[in-house]
Amino acid sequence: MALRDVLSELEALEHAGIVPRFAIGGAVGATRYIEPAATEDVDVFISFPQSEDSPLAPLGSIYQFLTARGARAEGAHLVIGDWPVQFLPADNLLLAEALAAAREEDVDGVGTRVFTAEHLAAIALQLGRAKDKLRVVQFLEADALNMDVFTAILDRHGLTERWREFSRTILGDQ
Amino acid sequence: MNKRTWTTISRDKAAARRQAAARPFAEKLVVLDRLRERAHALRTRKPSKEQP
Repeated sequence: MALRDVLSELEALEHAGIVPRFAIGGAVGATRYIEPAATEDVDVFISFPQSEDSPLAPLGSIYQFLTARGARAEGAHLVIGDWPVQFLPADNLLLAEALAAAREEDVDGVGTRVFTAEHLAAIALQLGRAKDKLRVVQFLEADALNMDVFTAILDRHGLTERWREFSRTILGDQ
Repeated sequence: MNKRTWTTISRDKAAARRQAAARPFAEKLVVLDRLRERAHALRTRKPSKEQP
């Protein structure tokens, strides 16, 4: 099963009302804006309904719905076809904003949603691992960022100082 | 390599990267599928019995 089919399953999940909203982040989301690079899994960010008894209860509904359609649980992932998919709650302010601002995409007739380039870069900067720093550089090299939008996001989420440090140490800016 | 040549190569590479990044999302997802298949094939490949 190809990535397009994974997106189709996610679309079905939303249409069935199991999750109110989802968006693709991580390396697969970044692929919308930069060159494709090998990745192990698909990161899907979701908003959870507030009325559940347990904060993780919605994951049960997601697993139930998708396993009934052929997916299988494997560690922290749900494997849909060939792709391990990780469902992650948009549980901080930056992720919640990214989910709300995610852009609609049509992938050969399948409707999906992807974080904006500026949010993906801000999340990468916030995470700060080596692969995340590389991703920020790739966004810059691809001219994928609206710098006014990007710096406003950094400002809103207290990442301006981290960006200055990144610019100085990684980009060599003075 | 002189500075002019290096600048030209860098500019061409940057243009190629921007061009690749601008390709349709669906097309790039197919590339991700292929990269995953290739990585899986490499991981599961049996070692050759032939002696070097």
